[in-house]
Amino acid sequence: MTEQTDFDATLTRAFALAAEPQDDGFTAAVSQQVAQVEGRRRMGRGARSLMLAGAGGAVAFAVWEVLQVAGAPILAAMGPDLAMLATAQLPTVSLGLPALLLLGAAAGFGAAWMQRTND
Amino acid sequence: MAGATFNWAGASEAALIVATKARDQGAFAELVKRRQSWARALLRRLCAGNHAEADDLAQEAFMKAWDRMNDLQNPAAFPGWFRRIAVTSFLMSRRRVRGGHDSLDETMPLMAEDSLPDSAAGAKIDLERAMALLSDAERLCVTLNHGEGLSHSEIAETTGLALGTVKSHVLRGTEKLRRFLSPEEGQ
Repeated sequence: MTEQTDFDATLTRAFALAAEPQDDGFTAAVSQQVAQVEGRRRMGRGARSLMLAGAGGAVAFAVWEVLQVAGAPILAAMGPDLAMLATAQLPTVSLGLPALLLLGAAAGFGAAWMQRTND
Repeated sequence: MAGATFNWAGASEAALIVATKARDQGAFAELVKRRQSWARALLRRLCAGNHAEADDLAQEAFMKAWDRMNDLQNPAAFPGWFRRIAVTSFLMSRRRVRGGHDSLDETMPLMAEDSLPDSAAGAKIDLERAMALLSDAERLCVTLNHGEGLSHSEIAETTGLALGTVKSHVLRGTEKLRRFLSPEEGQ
């Protein structure tokens, strides 16, 4: 097995002596790619923040609208005077709008969650 | 961005890794500059001299390293950690080429054995050309063994191949190289 051992040593030496590539713009290319990826991530984070803010606002508005609609029966249960006051003061709002807003909010949260997963 | 303007040239590799974990692009650029030669040489051997493919894989490996740097607990372990990323990139590329099935060609060399001239004996070893005689698996194991100095068990751990398979590939690959680079010893 001496020959094998000798050749192993020759081979190892050949690996050690083999020419290694010079930096012919490789580092610059990787740095540029890193900068692009980070730029896209920053934009993604900004978009996510906007989506979350929009979704949060939509939820708050929808809750407020629902409370306005549900508020009248609650006041009515508390007495006829309060019910009249509620009818006069609180606008009648269809439940369609809060539902749409909640749907929009869910879409916003979903999109933000997907973006975060992709990151 | 303060990190981009800082001169990292004199920093230790450990310092570069710590700064890279903090997402400093300048520190990572310096790390790439110091390690690109080794990484590209390793992948060029694995790709049997296909420099364009090797450089693409090296770039892919460095991007993965940038993304996963926080997984590296000990900065001193960077070479082994990065080598594993590079090898995995190579294996994945082979899997893509083979349509997601066998990740490594165990049999087919890139060059026929009789395409090397007999006069290779005694001449300076044209390592890159000779490596094309080996199958992907043999080339991977021989490169990691003789080129990177890894033991058989370390190769098994890095590549996910069974220890017996690694030993067999190293033995067969080395024997093939010996037969064609030193034919008189192979008689």
